[in-house]
Amino acid sequence: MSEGTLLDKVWERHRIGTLKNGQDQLAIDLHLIHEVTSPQAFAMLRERRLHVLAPDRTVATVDHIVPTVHPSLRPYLDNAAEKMMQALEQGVREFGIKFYSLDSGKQGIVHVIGPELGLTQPGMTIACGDSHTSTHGAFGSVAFGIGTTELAHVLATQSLAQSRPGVRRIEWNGELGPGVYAKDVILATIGELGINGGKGFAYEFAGTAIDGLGMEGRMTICNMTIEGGAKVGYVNPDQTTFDYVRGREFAPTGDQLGRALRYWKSVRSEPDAKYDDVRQFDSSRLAPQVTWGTNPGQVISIDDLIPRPEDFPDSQRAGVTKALAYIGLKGGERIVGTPIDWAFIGACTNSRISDLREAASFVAQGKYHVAKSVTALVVPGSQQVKAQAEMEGLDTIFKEAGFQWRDSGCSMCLGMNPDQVGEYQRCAASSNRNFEGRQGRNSRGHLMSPVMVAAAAVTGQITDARELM
Amino acid sequence: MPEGPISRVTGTVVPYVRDRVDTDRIIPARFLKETTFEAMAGYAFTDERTDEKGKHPFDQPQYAGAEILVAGSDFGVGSSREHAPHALMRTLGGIKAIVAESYGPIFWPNCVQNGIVVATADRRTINDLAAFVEANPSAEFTLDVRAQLLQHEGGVYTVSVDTAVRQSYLDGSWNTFGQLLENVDAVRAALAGLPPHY
Repeated sequence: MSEGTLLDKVWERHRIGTLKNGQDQLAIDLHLIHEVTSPQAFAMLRERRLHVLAPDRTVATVDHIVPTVHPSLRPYLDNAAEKMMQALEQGVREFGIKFYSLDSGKQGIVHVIGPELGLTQPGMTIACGDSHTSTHGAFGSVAFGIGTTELAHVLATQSLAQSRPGVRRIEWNGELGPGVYAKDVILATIGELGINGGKGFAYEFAGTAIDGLGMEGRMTICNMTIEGGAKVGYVNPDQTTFDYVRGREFAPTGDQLGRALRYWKSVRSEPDAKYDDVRQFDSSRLAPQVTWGTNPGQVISIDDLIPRPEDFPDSQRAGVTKALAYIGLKGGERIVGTPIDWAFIGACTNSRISDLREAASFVAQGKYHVAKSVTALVVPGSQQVKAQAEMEGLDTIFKEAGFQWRDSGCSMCLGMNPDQVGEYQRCAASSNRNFEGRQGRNSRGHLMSPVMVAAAAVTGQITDARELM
Repeated sequence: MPEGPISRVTGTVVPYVRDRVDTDRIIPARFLKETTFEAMAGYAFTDERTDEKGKHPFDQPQYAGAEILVAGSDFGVGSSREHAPHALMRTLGGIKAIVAESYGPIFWPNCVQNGIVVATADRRTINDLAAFVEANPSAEFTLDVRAQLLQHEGGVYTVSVDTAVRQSYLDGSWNTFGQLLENVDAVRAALAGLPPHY
């Protein structure tokens, strides 16, 4: 087992004891909830006549089902969505939970608003009923997704039964080339290590490429850790982290800040920490990545050919054949030039201000316009991101280029709100999952960086954005 | 949902040996708008069942009462939605045990929390088992948690249940809610000194 890593230290600090079933009882510092996975947990509490142990440590918002056009227009036409919304509103009222509603000015995707409000801090344990909770690991917290029963456990006991994972250190060294982003780093990592390669591990991301990223790039990387089979992914906190947190609404101030900084520095992995595994990759030659199949590990560099079933071991060929049939592509051909119908910039992976700035600056520098055959959406991750982007004039750049400028939410990532990709239609997406049916029934999704999505939007096909810069 | 110790699961088997089946496929997100788990009945694999027009294992009459699911590798990867095990629990004869090559990291704890036995087996065992079941769909199996064996009258397959998880099925501690509740005073005391209190 690992020793002296951030995971070991944060785990030990939060361990209450060992349970009868052999797992550790882990105290949870911050609990984030949203409308989809909480109603049943509230029902579990009611059934057992339990209250919320530490209501100040749970924060709610609404993101998965909200329409991104007129989100505040209630009741929703979709009756099920309206009922779900009411279940959350009722739950937060009844149990005394802070709720960032659509009229708060601070609503957004749960993994965008936590960091943005300064709720997410280094050395914390963070849980949320959403697999992309690993995002918060970018701050050097131990953050992971949980199911609804576990959500009820956190509400009632502010703790969880968990087994400590091993720690795999993943180093990316070398400067990222122009047009290559954090998204490409994490897609390439999953491509190398597999979608279940992280089984039993927490991923510690390190190396000069990671050190050089801002917090938002680090969030993109940790966000997709779960796509590699690891529930937890993190980056050791450094000056970049502290500078990002300081001054935010819920960040510590005054004497607290001094003590917080000491704690935040103390949880970093020791130089002589022991890891269960170490992998090293060279980021200096990394090209933009794009998925060709139906899971995030089915990914290639933009200039590679789509693999053929016969390129894989026997046991995988049937799966590859099925993935190619679903996605409507042929092995051995170039992925560049594949026509798209939709372009989606958004989701908890890539909907923060730096993502929007990069995409907008790409569009502006080439004075590009969205291709006629494409419907392109830009969906800011939160109301605050949206306001910031509008202050900077990014909305104008997008709108003049033919992109739709939407309100914040999970949008076209998951086919659960009005933003869905039609059957057999193809979408270039900055989100994190290209599963069958993920963006709508029989939708075909290709994961890539926001700038690559913008390039696909303006050319109408999957394109190497570097050639348009 | 079962209560207390789970030492065995008995029932017929449905073979569904497909790899990397994510939870979006088990239960597409548009059905998550239901606010109760009871409503998940009937939604398991909806889209692929529609596409396969009656040929999907979950639509074949010989498996209609199955309580044990045999799956491939990486079963239940992806989203944390607990709706996935709940959909399975309410489909066919109500799935009470799964034998797969491997599982998604959030899916299997969600199964344990609902008293579904999650066992693993190597690929060869899974293929042999599936082939047997296809030829003998009415064969009744018993999954013996302690012995880690899946048996029927004519044969036996070796499966594996993680040591700690196995113990928790056998002594009933798989349902951790009560155990966590016993220690809330210790948690409350610890929280006073944990972030964001520094």
